[in-house]
Amino acid sequence: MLEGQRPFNPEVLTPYAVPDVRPPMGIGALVWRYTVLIPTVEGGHDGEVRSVATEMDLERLRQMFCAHFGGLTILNRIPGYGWRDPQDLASLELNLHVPFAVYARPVTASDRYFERLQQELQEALVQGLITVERQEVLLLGRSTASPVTRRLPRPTDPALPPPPPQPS
Amino acid sequence: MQERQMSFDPRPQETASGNGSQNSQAAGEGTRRPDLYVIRIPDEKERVRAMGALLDVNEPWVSTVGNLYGLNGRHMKALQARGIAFEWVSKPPAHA
Repeated sequence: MLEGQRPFNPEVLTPYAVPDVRPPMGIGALVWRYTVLIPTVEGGHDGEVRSVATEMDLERLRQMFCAHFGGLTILNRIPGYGWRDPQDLASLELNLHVPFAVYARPVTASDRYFERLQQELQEALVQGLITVERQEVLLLGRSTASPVTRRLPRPTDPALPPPPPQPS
Repeated sequence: MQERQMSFDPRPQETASGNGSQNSQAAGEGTRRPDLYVIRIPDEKERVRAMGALLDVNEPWVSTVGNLYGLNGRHMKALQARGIAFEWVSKPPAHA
């Protein structure tokens, strides 16, 4: 574990998990697929290897995504490397990430959710940047009309929480 | 993702060679069962242990509400090798 690291806290995402983020599903549905790269191992030029996200952290993430979005796909681990200082070869860092892929409704509320998640993961796992990707996905197919009906927000819809504060 | 995303082509599948597939073991005459299973892991401690076992397999898997897991035969072997307690939701393989 890294110095200052703490367990991931899914409770901070609860205010952002508004019903609107849950994805529409079925032929013709348009969704955003978010892929969150969770670091599990990192190592430096010195050969020292440190664990980052624990199995408990990953299980909490799995449970949270199931509760908020209905489910997720956990993909093959991805290796990565880079130099913190491109001029300093000794600043090489290597890491392994587990990608968590989640479908969400293509609305601003989904972006806010994942921005807050990114912030929480960066703080809990003591990471400079947790990579969160967003891709647009159209579920193609020949079928009957789309089950998805678009609508504007209603006054009775729960209000979105404000965007997470940005570090100065 | 929703559970229905885990659906597979119900037509007979070709058995891949050399990957330890259980298809041939579960196959009936003229049909091959996809090497896919749905299980439930009710206990939280077991789910944490399962996370480690499934990551070691390093192949994609899915999970949905209700602590359901959509796994392949190699995932199932990893869970069974570690003695992780789970419940079958889909029909278990013939040798299970």
